Amino acid sequence: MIVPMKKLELIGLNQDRDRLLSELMRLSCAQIEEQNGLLSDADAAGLLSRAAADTADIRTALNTLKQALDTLIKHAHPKRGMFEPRPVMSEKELLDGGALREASAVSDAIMASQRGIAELNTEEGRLQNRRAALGPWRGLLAPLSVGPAENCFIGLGVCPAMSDMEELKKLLFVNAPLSELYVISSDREQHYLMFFCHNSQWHEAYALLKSYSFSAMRFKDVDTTASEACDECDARIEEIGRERAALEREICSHAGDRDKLEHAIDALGVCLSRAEAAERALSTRLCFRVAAWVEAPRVSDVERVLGRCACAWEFSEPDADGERPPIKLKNSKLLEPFNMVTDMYSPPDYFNVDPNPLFSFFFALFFGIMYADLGYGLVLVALGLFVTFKVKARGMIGQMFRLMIIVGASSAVMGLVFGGFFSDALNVAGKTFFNTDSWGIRPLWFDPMQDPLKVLIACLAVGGVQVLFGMGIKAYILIRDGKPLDALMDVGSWWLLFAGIAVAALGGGMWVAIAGAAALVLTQGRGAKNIFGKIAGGLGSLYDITAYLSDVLSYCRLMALCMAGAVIGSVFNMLAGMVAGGFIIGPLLFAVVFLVGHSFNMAINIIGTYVHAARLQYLEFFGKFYEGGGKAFRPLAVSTKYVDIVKEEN
Amino acid sequence: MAEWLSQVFTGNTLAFLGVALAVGLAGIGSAKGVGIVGEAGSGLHAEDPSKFAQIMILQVIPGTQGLYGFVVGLLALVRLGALTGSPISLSFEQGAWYLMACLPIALVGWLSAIAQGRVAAGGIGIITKRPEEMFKGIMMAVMVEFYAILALLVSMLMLFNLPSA
Repeated sequence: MIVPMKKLELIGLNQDRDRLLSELMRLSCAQIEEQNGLLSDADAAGLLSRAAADTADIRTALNTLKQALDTLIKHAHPKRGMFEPRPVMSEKELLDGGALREASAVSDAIMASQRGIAELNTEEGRLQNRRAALGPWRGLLAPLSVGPAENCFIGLGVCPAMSDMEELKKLLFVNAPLSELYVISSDREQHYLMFFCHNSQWHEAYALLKSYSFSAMRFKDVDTTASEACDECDARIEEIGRERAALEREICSHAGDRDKLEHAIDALGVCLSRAEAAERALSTRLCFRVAAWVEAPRVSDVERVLGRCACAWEFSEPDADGERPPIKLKNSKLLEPFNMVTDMYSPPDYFNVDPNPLFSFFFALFFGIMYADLGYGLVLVALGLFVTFKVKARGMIGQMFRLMIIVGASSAVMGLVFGGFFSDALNVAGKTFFNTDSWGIRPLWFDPMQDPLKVLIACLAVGGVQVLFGMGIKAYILIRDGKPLDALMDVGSWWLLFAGIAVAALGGGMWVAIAGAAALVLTQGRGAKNIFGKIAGGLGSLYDITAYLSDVLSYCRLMALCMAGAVIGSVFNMLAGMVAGGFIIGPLLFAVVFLVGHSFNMAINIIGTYVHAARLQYLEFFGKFYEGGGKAFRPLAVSTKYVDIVKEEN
Repeated sequence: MAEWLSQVFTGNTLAFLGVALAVGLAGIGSAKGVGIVGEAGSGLHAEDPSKFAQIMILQVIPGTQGLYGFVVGLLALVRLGALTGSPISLSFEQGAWYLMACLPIALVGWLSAIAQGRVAAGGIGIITKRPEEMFKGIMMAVMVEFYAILALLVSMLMLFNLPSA
């Protein structure tokens, strides 16, 4: 069922605003709306302005906490079981100011250490660069700050590795005999050089050096030798390592505070959503105005809360031409997990229908046919039950595992129908270990591998039923909205044609089919303006019969996935049977191959099965009647990630 | 020449050629597909190592075709009696049947794994920008899988009905 919504417009005193919003938050049945329309109205905009709220501050604080938590997890790796249930607390405990202050002290300490680590990392990087630059000069025993003397030029420099230094030395000896060149070291890129030259021959020598791409280097700030400077760097790097380890230990010492941080993140998240709601209010100096969508069944609760404050309010019905209300789907516990499938497509339009009760049976059935195996189905049910009742997963993940219970049960039933238990595991086990052919479960209906054609026909028949059912829903929507004639013409004519085809196939003559086709030709062009358009539209609609045909043929995927899963499973069983020679080791090997093979088969098949079961709903079924495009209902509520909130009665 | 050809292409060698193609081509396809996703994924992994699990799920998706090829090849070997050491002797025509039975998964496995690898590599982009939408990336990649499953099924159905040891 799509929960009916009512629009709430509320005017109250500024001093009550936060209290009112907190009360609404506790009810979790109102979605606070933006009021941009009112702001663009000149008269109203003169009076009203956006309410001020401290969202920016809360966001900053929240981000710091999240960073601190990430840092803590990264360094301290606090252990937590994957299936550990969340702690339970009351809203008052969660929003307790003392706990918040404590958490923010912890996060400040963590972030200070983290900043210290970042600074040390930068310094270490700088030192490593410096060490790399000084390394080639380690052979030089003079201080690196060496420079020109009174009569003599003294300098350091580099030449590219491909220039020949011996040749340069020879040339220098000939052209500038009062000079000397020492190669300190060489690597793959450069030669590292020291150069002396009497001032009188500087020009000749320098021209030669230039022609060998010499470039001078100065180390003004290093007044020690290169190897001393390198040792200094090394010592400092080692010290940095120690300081960093100390800071990391400091962070790790907060490992026990992880819960505090997580609770504070949830608490601030709650504050943030309240502040965001407050920001959507418009205010004058004294009053504020809020617009919201409220679940219609909860209107009396909201009125009771509002009645306690000095404020004025009005509820109104949504209007088919106006703003669309948000969508909340309310279904029984059994159907609720199917929301996941609907949400992945698109929530329905407010004035369409809730598809969950309509497609969930088909979805479960199709999943069952494609995953048909008693063993696989039972494994899914067990896994789903475990996560639902032991771990108490919530949200999308929770829905997924509750859905798993349902589709698992369906698969198990279909496994009985087609006689599959881990494919043909029992037959193989019987044959391998007890040399008997009498093991294995007998299918309630028939074994798909013996008669694939029968499976195909059954699948197409199921598909045909779903397509007809989808058309029926369209007729229902048209009649509900006061257009019974459209229902008769758009759906009735097709049904007449299909019935006619069935009659003809059973040898009852063509007349019903012809009547159906005639009805289509006469009615389907009625939207066109002139008589030619009407005729063309009517004739064109006959072409849609191919669309129905391809819709039904699409259900052959049920048969393909059903058989493929069984076939791969039986090959793994065969493999297991082949390795199972020997007395004690045999059954052990059998178990290993069996477990690995079937886990793998289950894993690859479950995604494909889900996708194809969903696809058949989205394209073949929803295409007949469904209008999506609804926006999901996001009420102002206490939503938490790390803790569960227990409701307090007040 | 003709004599040499008739010695090389006996029924049994044709059947083994089918096994080689099923395992070989489908394996090549999967290797390429998994490789494409791996390349895209390691870029993201360098940025954000915490996404490793999601990347890995996408990366293994194009790996299934190789497995399908292996399953078909293995089943053919079993039915040929090649694993028990006493292979059956096939006529030229029977060997050709085995070859044909192996072709669907060989060809479709090979090319669909590469196509699926591309889609899954696109899914890496989804993990980067909107990790909460990752499942849709998986769904799109799994759509490609369907055709490999069809090919696997037809290969298996043919093999089940061929003369065997």
